Amino acid sequence: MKRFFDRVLTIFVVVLVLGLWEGGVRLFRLPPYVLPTPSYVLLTFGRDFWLLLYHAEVTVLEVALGLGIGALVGIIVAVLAFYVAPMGQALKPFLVGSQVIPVFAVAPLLVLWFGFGIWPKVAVAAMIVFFPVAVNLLDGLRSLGPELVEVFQALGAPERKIFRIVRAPAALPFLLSGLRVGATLALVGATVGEWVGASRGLGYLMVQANARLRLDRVFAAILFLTLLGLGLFWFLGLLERLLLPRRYNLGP
Amino acid sequence: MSSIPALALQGVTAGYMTPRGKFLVLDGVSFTVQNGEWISVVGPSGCGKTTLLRVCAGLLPPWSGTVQVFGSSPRGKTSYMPQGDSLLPWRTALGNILAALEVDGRPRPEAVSKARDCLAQFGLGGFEKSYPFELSGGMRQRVALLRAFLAQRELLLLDEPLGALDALTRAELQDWLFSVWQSLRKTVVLVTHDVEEALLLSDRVLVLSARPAKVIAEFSVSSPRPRVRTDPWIQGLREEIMRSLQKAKGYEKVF
Repeated sequence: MKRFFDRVLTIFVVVLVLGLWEGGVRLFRLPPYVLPTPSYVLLTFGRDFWLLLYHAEVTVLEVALGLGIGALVGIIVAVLAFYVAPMGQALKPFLVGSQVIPVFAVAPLLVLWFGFGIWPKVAVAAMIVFFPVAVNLLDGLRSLGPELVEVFQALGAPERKIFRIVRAPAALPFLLSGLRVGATLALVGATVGEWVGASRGLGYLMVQANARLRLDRVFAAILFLTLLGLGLFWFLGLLERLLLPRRYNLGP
Repeated sequence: MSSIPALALQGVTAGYMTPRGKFLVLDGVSFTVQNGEWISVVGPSGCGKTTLLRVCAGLLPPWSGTVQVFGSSPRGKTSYMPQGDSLLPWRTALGNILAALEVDGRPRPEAVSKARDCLAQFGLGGFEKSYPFELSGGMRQRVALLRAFLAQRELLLLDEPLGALDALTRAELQDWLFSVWQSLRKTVVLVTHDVEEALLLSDRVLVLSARPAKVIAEFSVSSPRPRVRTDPWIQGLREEIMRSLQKAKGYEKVF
């Protein structure tokens, strides 16, 4: 009953906000090149659907590649940093650096180096994903207490087996939460990469539409990006359910 | 073969390096445990019982002296159960037991079915697919103890396995532990702070001094098992051990 009420409330709030938007635009007679009404945006979304899809194809590819590469490099770096202490020290400035350097600011350079194709955007997305994955996984590997490991050390398990039986499964939830933080930002990263210079992609479409004062199309692209982000979230939730088939408590 | 002791410590000193220098925990500990024997180790809290077990398991190399399990290095030859929760939270009860078997390679079907049978035989029937967080504290310790017994090592090192349980559950698990030992027969070194528990279960009780620890007394318990905690001899021996524990702690009172 409470859940039903919450849902009704959520829908009510959304309808209210959209209604105020629609009503405000109509009341003040704002032209669509200043602020289109939500109904107009929805209309454009339907009319331009194939165009949006055509551009989304590239954006999705960039995000997927960026996610894959960023996560892979993040995992490798975290495991190396965990096992080779001096390497952990040496990598520290890079780990911190990749967090504090605004990756979006590097985007123009990446376009300069990698051209207008998908690769500069893949690079931006990968750099964004890399940091939370590496840091979270390293935290996860380091947070494991000695007891569980010592049970298997006493039995004579080599480190390779301890990693498989104890460390990796213990750190997996950390890896997934890092991936989740990175994934949504990767979508933003790819879009910003496309703003800087591209020939296809939702970010490119936004810049083009913006220049022509087609704000309805800009909003339609934003709506599409939102849906992509939700899809990405759903996909990661699915991955989590597959890899962690039962929810368990990680102790106290 | 039978003359080789399951565990032999000879003048073992061990400890930890701290930023302020060496921290001596074990100061010349010597004792042997025969194959099939069950010994308990009691001592004032913080005296180094856990360190002693870690040395016996080969997890902490001694600074001097020797540790031998069946005549050679202890590494990989003991089944060690640390204090506290030591189950893998992402594995079921059966999965946790199999994890210990996986150390020696893929568990053979006989080993898997034996693990299943043991879970059923020792009061965990119907819980083999339960995750640790779904089990009570007593049940979790049963699984962890069964894992130690089924890990295919002859020497078991148990660090206060019943220490965190309430009195009722503990008494129940003491009987349970005895029945498991009776059917699976291993050599056991049990660290406990419960003198009664030591007297109920073991062949010998070693008393450690306060840190740095050494063995200051040894009591043989020859009475046949299963024993009952109300036996007058248990109370008598308990008094005696308490007195030596008091001495171990010096002028401070133990209880």
